[in-house]
Amino acid sequence: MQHGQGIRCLLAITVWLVGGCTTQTYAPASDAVTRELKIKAGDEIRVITTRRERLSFKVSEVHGDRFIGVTAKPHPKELHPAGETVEVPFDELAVLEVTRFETKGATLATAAVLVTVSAFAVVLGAVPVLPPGP
Amino acid sequence: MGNHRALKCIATLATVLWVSACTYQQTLRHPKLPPLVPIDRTMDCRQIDLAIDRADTVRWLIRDDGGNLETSGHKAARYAGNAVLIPISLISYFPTYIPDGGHTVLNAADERIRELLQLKRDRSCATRATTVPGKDDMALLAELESVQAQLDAGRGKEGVLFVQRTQLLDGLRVVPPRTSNSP
Repeated sequence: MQHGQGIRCLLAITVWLVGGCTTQTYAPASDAVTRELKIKAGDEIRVITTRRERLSFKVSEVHGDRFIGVTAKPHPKELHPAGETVEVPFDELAVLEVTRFETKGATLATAAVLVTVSAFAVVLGAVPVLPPGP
Repeated sequence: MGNHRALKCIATLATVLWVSACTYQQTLRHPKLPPLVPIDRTMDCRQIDLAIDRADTVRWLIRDDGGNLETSGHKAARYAGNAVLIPISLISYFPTYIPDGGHTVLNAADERIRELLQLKRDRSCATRATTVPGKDDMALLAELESVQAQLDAGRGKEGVLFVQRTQLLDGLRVVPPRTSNSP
């Protein structure tokens, strides 16, 4: 039984970690829309500027009109090497992709998976099948 | 026998389309730009130019990643190919399908840019240079509208008109040079 609980725990943690990591792409139409995205220091973002430059960087400062950050390992077609300080004014942002961990989303995803798995386990009578712990 | 031949034809076509669709690889997810909404029509000239620059950049991203417009004929062939390919791929536990090669997002970007250019003309904003020799953005819009009118009316060859539209919009903007410090 303990073994079964361990598996469930491991599953829950895995789903929580995987399900909470989301990548979203935006095409902000104005500076106000960019501010609404609530990008904060520490977020890793990928952007395309209106100068047609592709950049991946970790945000270190967020000002009212620009991001300042340090470039990360470049993705394909990105020309800036890692470790460079960059400034991206909001009015030059055309595309922004952010990957971050969302606790709420992670919890919801985990709950959904656990409920589904438990329901299947009940229906199939899978619980007794799990080998007993030592 | 006829059915067998048709199936072979579809399979060959599907393979060709699938391979050609492989040239379109999104380096990051391409956003689908929305058409103009009433609030967009309150923008001043500077904001319109900025919105054009942004939409044009999204369009450039799609093109740079291999995106192209798809004619009705190609679309029909893709649908037919998918009707065969999807069930087979599901049965073989390797789900796949023939994508549209970026048509949906590219078409949306084209439409938004055209609407923004029309808004710019309505506001009598200052014209900007393009990379098309002898044409500013308003002259380019006039030509773009002529091509679009033919497309909407179903006149002319769709593939040729799509190529014309794509070439015109590819040359819309003179991109400012990159600076060394900031992007």
